[in-house]
Amino acid sequence: MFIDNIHAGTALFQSNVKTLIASFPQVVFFKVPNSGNIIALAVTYKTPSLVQQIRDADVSRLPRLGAWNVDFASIKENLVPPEDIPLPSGTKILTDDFSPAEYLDTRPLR
Amino acid sequence: MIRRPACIVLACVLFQGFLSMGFQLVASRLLAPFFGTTIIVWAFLISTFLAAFSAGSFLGGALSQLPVRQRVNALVILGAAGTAGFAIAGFLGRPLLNYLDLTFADATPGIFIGCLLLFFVPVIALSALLPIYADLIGKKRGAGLSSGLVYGTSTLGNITGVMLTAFVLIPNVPTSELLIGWFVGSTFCFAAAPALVRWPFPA
Repeated sequence: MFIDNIHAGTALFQSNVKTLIASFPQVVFFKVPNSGNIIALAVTYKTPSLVQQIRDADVSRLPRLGAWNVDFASIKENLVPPEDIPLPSGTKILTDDFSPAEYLDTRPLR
Repeated sequence: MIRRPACIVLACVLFQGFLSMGFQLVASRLLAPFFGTTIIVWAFLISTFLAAFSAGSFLGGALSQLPVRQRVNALVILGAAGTAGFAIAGFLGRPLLNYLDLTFADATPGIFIGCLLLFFVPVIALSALLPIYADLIGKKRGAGLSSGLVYGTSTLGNITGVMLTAFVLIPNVPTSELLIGWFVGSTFCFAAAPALVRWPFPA
């Protein structure tokens, strides 16, 4: 399992999303309300469906982490399947050999 | 005899400046997957390049005093060393940095050795060309004017190299291909130097 906080708002976000989709069998995203951040959650299995697992989760049975400001119901509500994130055709996958992160982070979303 | 136009020498100087500083940015992309892009990495990278600029200027100054035939021979050796250096950075850089990354628990010696082995020699070779070009231009113009022309033009090349590499090349071309490009470009640069020294050719 891989979890990352990726900053939305620039072309780097689209490249990060495309890179995660290309690297893992399943990826989902969670909007963080009132912030420019998106949490990416990627797993190394193809089945069962990660989106369905999260949608079916009974958050009332999860341990309460209110003291740490963790609201599982809100997290579930803010689920964004990868297909709901528009990626322009020219979006580039980032690798060790090609990673213009600083440049992309200055470009506005297309 | 065919006269050696100063504009051809200055075009080579401009290209040398482009290659020198552009290479620094490409080098940072080569180091990034192994050591990151922290201020520590930049400190070693900038210091390595400045040390190479300094050593190259001393070396080039000494070579510029040699008789033409010896200077041409020295430039051929210098060019071979520089071209080999760019080839090593381009073709062996990644495995070498991977080895250094795995060998040292503390990244600092890995960064230092990596910068030294991959970037020092090719940048010395490039920098050594400038005093030789200054000497070529200064035959009729004097040391002050020729050094001003050469170092001013080289700095314009530096700026072009930095901006073009940062805003055009790195965002569009993989690092491995850029390193091959620098290898090819430097080969032309090193090949031009002895030819310019040997000029004027018999008509």
